[in-house]
Amino acid sequence: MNCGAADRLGIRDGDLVEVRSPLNHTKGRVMLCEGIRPDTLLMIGQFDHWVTPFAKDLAAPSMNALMPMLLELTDATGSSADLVKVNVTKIGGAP
Amino acid sequence: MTRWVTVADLERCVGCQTCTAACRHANATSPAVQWRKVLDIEAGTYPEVSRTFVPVGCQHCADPPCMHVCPSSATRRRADGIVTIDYDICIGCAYCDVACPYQARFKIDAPRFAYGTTATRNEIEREDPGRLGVAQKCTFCSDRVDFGLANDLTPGVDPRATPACVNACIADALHFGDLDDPDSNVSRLLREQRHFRMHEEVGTQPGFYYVYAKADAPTPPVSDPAEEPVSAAPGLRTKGVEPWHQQHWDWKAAGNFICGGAGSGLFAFAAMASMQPDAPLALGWAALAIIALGLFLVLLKIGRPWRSLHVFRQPQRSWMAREAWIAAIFFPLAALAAWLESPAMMIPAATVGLGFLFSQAMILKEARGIPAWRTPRIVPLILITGLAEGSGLFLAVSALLPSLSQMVQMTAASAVTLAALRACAWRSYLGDLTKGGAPTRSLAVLDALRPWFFVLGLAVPSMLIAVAFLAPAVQTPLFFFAAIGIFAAGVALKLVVVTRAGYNQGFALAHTPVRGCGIAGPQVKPGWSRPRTR
Repeated sequence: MNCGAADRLGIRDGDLVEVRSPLNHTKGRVMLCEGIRPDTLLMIGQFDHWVTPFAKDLAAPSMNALMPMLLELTDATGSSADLVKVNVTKIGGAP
Repeated sequence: MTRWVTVADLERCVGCQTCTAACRHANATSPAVQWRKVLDIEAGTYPEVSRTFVPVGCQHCADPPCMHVCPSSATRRRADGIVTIDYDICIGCAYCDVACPYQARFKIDAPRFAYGTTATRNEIEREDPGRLGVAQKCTFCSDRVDFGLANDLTPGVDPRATPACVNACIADALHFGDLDDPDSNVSRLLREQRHFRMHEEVGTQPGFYYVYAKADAPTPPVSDPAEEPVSAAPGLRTKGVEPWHQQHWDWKAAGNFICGGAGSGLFAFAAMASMQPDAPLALGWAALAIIALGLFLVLLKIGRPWRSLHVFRQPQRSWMAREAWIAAIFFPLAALAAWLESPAMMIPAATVGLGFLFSQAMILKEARGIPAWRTPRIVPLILITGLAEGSGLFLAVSALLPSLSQMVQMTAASAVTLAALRACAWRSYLGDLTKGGAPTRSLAVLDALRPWFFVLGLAVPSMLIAVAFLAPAVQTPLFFFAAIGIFAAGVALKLVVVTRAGYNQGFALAHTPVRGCGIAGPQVKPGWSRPRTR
């Protein structure tokens, strides 16, 4: 998340936030940096690990939780970017 | 001759960490360990932001501090420049860990798995118990290099003979080759590009080069460490780059420095007292017991205690091995002297004991990965602190024992003198650190200790001893508490220096790369205070 945008929302590095799309919501810890657009969040955990025996329960935020994988929304390179409008709310401080 | 080196092109590295993953895969390292990793330094504020990615790991130095300090001869340097560790010899003392200015060494005592407590099948198959409790680090994939040489392949050119990280690099940023061959890939690169090595000022001559601009690029601004706002550059995001506290030398290691100093100091005073008639020679035994306790604490700390005798293998280089040898001479000699109650033997034994103390001071000085330890001023500080602790213990005993009452005033005077000398050595040590530049967090810890050290270690004991001289009727408790203060300040000092102020070197760049057009950027050295020049 962009440092300046987080500052305006009262969010600090490591805070727990809830990210909500029109369909669903997920949560995770914020990492701040300058090199990202202020109006954008980047979520690395693109595919939720809900079945794989080892990688599940990693407490990583997931795009899957925010939106279904829709072919109409998937770009030609095969889902290198899934995009959805969200809002973000702080729900806890840094550990 | 051959000198294998790695060249990392900072203009090309995109920070994808594929080298990290390839290293993990090729060498089956634990999740707690990263022989190769890539730092991420972000500078500026949106939208004017730059990021620099810096591959780090063992630098395979021409003058490797890890090898010089290794007491067991486990760490060696091959003729072709590759620094190796023999896992079967290493005792796991982690001295090399605190001697490495590149934070390249790791030691883990138990297996760790990528996903919690359950090992994957791959992890079960590749787990190597021989690597537990010993030092480990990047090997430059020496097995692949040796395979290549045996099969007429050129390391750095043929992938089968090249380190896994270099093979894996997606951006052509990592290169491996022979620096001594003027036609090799790395020699050509270094001719065509501007480059630096990390922490040149430490004098290790790394075999790892960072390329940051074309040779014909405009000259970058000269970085004067006194001028550049290295620590406070706006918008510099450097998580994992600035110094962090060393992980392996805990209170048990500090305990050896405390007991070694206090014990050898006490033995020196006991030796002097032994020239008096009816001096209590049990003091000599007590001093020996204190030193032995310190060494026992170390035995509890090292990763492979059953191999501890390997500590004697490398006295020609390592001060830790020398410490062990001196102890091996000191203990029988001192025990014999105490047993025979012979002053003529106590004095030479005490001299060897001071040699033991000196070796402990040198152990800290040779830990070149810890800026707060490697300054030469630590040597007088540790020596005088040991004597002051010994004098404190001796004064406490003298105050209580009637048989030493004739000496108590002289002992008090020498204890307070040593406490004053110690305060001078401390001042000069701190002044040197501040002047030369040090990790800011080390300085903060030492600064916080400063008033306590002065009050407990010098001001209050001097006052008590002065009052005791004026009022002999109450001198016993006054001398006793002054003695405890002088002793306790020494304990606190070593505990703090070893377990709280031991921040490592961190990482630094002599230049940030060009990245496209323009000129290279200034030095980056986060987490460090600026040296004070002139």
